[in-house]
Amino acid sequence: MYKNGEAALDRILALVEKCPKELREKCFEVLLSGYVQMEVGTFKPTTLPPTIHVGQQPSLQPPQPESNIPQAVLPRFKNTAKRIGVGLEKLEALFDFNTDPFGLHALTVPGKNKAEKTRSVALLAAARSYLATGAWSADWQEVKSLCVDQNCYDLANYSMNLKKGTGTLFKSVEPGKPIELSSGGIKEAEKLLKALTEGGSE
Amino acid sequence: MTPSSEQLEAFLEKLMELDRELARLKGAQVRKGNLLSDIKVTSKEWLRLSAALRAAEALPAENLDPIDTSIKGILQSTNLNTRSSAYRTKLTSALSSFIDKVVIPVIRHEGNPTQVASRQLLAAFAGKVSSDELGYLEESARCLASRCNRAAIILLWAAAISRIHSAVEKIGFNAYNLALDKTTQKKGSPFNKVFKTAVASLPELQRSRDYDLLVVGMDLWKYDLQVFEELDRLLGIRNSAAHPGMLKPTSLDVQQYASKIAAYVFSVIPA
Repeated sequence: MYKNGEAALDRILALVEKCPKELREKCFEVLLSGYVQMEVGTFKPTTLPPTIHVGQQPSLQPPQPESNIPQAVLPRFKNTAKRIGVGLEKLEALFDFNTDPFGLHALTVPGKNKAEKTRSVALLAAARSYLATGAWSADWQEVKSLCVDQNCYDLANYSMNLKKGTGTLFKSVEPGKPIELSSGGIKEAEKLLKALTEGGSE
Repeated sequence: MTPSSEQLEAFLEKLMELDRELARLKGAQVRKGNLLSDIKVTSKEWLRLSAALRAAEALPAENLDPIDTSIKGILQSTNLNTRSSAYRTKLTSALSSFIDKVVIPVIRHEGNPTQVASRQLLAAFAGKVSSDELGYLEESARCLASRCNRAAIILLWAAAISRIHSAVEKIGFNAYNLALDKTTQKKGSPFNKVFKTAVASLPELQRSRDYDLLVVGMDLWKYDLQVFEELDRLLGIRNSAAHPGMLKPTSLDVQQYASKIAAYVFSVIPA
């Protein structure tokens, strides 16, 4: 400690000499204090605030990961993600926001057979509808189209397969009409969303 | 109107039933009047469906052309002494591609999120609107399906104003003028912005500013200032949509607009 004290003191005195007379005492005090702090290891270099460019708002929070969820539906996405216990980004990843209105990304819907898959598709379509509009109801034609994509569309038994979910999953099923979810159906739809966000579909 | 996938599926079932009938004849000439009549009716039904699908541009013409050719061939055969096997050859050709080339593309078209949004828009008003109002809403839904979102908003507002006009007609112009007087006597905004223009007929009412109707509506239909403010915001959005500018409403914006119109106009102002 103070190995080069003498030389440092000389340098400090030289600097103090350059100051106006009335400030010399203060200047000596500051420079000596700085030297001592450096020697004992308590010196903290002064950090300058980050440069803020004209027109740029100072950031008060760390930057958030970019989300493509439209503002209009963001609260519903956040609430749903919280309710089912998954991260918002995982829930967001199930949907394609590059289209207007947003749709579902390619997913593998669970189900042991076409009938089960059809009902799962209806739950998923109702979940998309809920996130978009707030209504837990699946559009008949959207379900049909998703069933074609999921390879579970059974032309002869499509209505029958959905009707089997009446009561447990759906309030009522009428061909061509929106399929409204029952409270049990909403729970199942949320479970399905959670399973899909976790990458599991069985 | 675009044939629905349900209509096409039902038509496919008719074709299959026809094929089963023809198969029972085991290649013999078709002589039964009923069967010939069924063949003619079914063929003509397809030609109507095909024309409607072409008009709606719901699926490419190359999907329809081969089926049209087969069905036209079947229809022409009804004027000749044709064997059931000859009918079946043409029918099999149509049946083999019907699901993949017609039913599935129409299902995909119907299931498109834009089409879904359009149907959901209409569903938000189910049981709440008159046939006149429904006309505007259906046109708005068609605009939404065609991604003409500004136009969709304008037509939603047209439906709302249609409801307000019919509600004023129902209570009578005297009641309206009385409410207008009461409104203009009130101090401060928004009452002091209302033009005191009495009306005695529908055309005069139609010339009134939408804003005035919304303010007077507080007296007529007893909604509060908060509902008025929400309605005024909706009018502002309508005006923005109707004028050049940078507004780019999305489908979701239109759906939200529709749900607010349904809640603040059609659930508040009686038909």
